[in-house]
Amino acid sequence: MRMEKRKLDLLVSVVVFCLMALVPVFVKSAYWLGVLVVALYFSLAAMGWNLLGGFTGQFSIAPATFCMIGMYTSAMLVHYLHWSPVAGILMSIVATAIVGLLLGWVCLRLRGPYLALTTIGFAEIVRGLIRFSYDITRGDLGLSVPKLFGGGGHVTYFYTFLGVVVLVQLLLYFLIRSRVGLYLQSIRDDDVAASGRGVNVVGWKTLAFTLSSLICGLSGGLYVHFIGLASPETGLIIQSGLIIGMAVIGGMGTLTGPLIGGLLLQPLSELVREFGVQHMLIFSLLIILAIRFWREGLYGSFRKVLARVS
Amino acid sequence: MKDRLLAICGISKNFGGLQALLDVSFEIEEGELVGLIGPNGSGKTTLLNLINGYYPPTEGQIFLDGHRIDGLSPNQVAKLGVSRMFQATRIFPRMTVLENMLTVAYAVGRIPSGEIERRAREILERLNLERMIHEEAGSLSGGQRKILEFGTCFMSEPKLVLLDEPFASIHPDLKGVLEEFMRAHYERGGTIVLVSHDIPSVVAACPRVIVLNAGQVIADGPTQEVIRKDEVAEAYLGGFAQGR
Amino acid sequence: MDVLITGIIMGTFYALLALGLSLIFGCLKVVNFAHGEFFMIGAYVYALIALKVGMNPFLVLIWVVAFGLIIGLIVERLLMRPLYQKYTEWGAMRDEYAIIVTFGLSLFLINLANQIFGPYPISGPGLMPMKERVLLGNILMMSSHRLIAFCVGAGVLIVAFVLVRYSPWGKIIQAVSQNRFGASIAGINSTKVSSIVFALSSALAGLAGALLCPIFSAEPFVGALPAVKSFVIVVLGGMGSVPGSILGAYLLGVLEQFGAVYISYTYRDTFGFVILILFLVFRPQGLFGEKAREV
Repeated sequence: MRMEKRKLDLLVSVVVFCLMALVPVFVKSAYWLGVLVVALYFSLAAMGWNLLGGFTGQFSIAPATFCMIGMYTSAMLVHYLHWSPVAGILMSIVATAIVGLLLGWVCLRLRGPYLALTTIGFAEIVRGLIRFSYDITRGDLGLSVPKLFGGGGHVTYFYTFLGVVVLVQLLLYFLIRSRVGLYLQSIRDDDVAASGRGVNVVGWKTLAFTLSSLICGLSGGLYVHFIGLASPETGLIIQSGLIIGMAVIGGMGTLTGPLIGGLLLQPLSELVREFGVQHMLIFSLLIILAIRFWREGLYGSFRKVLARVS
Repeated sequence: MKDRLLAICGISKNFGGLQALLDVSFEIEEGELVGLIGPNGSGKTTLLNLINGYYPPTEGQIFLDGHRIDGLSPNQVAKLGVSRMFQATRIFPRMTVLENMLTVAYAVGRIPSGEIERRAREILERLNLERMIHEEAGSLSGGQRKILEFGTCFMSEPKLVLLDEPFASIHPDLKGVLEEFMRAHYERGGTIVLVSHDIPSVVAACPRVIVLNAGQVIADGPTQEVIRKDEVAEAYLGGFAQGR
Repeated sequence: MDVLITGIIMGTFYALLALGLSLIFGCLKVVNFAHGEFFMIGAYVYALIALKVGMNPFLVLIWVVAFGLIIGLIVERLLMRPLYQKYTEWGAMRDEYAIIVTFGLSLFLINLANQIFGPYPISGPGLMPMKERVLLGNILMMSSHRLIAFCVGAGVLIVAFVLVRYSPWGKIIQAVSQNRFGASIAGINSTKVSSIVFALSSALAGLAGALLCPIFSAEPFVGALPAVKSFVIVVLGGMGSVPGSILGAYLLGVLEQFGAVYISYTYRDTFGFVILILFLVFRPQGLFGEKAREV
């Protein structure tokens, strides 16, 4: 019996979510729960990037930039206008959607390295703007903000982040399974042919940019109210590299890849850090190995093996 | 002029100094099977690209069913019922064979959604691709990919099918499958423009043929008459035809 | 006036970087995101050999070039081959592969340097003792080592340019850039040419890194900014156009200096990005490049 690709993805995701839901029962350490919250932040961002990069073939190197924009939108609204964090986060979604739309518009006719370079340029310009607008953003010092749950324990944050990830994953599942998923992937595979076959490449690319950016913005908004500080370091190109790496190693172009990538790699890198070895070193090596020898990533390979066995 | 299915009116295309097409005009009525031939570089593919809308003409207009379509984007033209097969096979390699077929049908939207999957399977069956239905299109052989692309052209009740070198680099057996399919579509009233270097196939299949040379139409009419013309032989063979 | 001269000097170093990147783009049709790290490697090799071994700095440059060549060869052999050898498998994903693998390589090299040498900058010695200042005519005073570095850089640049444009080897490189398949039919071993181009590019970047080491020092992130600038230049001049990149390099060098002095010092590095995006959106073929036709 051949289970449809996406249904399998969803099934595995559900399994992962159930496992995750049980984690706080066994893991009591606030530190490790915190690590998992960070992992969920990265997974969410990776899922956002994967929609744009893995499914639509637009290789933006700016996911972390949108996380950062999300962070600062909420941070500034809460800090200066005294909005509630929840309202701030909702606004993050709106703001990043708009910026994502604009970036998408700018990048419409760009492909491959040209697109990547533009997004790098964009990332650095935005980061520069945030760093140097010291008066509003406190620049490199960062802007401190109240946390989402005041004095709440990490368990609360854990379930909140998990809940959001579940929601976004469901959204993505239904999206990719629908005809929109077909259109996005056709744009990835051959946008010239896609256009000739009736796909509104301009429209769907723009949607992909917008949706991808707002998912990253959402994760950033949530994150800033977890760690309590908005910093331009979040938008470093290396951070985007991390996010992309998780999607690649987990499995680009699959629904579950980024989820697994983030959940596995973040705690792993914490473990590795305890041994004094540079986790980024191993991480980047993994990225190279994954793309060179093993481009389906962890989850993609798992799926392939399963297909061969059945 | 404008109520034919396809009307090409005074089309010229200039690529920054390179004149690819010059004052090309012809009409195609519904239900015709027209061959479009000419030596390499004569502008055949450029003409198809213009009809599809990949770039606008430098001069002239194109009408489909009386509506002006030059200047529309390719997806808009496709939605109006034009389907295209590319010279260098273009399929979606990381999507399954079925998904390749479904995408165009959903995107163009000319047949009801309930019908789409059934029709896809039917076409794939006729083209002997049924067993590959859930395979990634990228794992297909070159010939199979061409057939898949061919199949996508017929997914959504096209008014006009543009085939660019459908028989190139294909096994003779597979070629027969395509020719048969094409003939069946024609006999049901479909309109096809066939671009090919395979002169015997074009001559055998098409009642009418248009010849392009260096961006201009040098002949247009019933196939048997056209191929006997001197200008046509000269265009293809250079000066050699004189010695015949 | 001295702003202009500083611009020209910096432009020379940028040109060394951009030239390599442009060649890679021409031949392999990819942007090498790890280019800045070849620069960084050059800086480290220079600093370490000069300091530890105490060799004459000029001789160290030879080592830098040698090292750069080897590294370029290795990277090409290990990571770049799939781009054109397994074409059918990767055909649909070439760009993705190239971006991710070079990006990953960039991260890897940066962190490797961090791991081995630590994050603190290592300053390499100038080509000549730094203290001496030279008076050029009556206009400019600058450190002698910067002047010498400039001369070395300009010399190498001229040689490289002449080679690529006019020598038989250069013609071969141009052939592969313009039509890889056609070149291989004509008997050229495209793979070998790609190796050589990559190696050359790495060597040139490394040389730039070494020449600028006394100014910028060797540290893991030293290559990041020069890399982005070379991207800007290559886009500005036209991807794959050698004269374009060189011209673009000087243009950027000069514009940056003027921008820093007359507009804003803080945002001096941001100008490059703005120029980059403007060109990519409005004139992707740069000043001299070719517009790619798709259908």
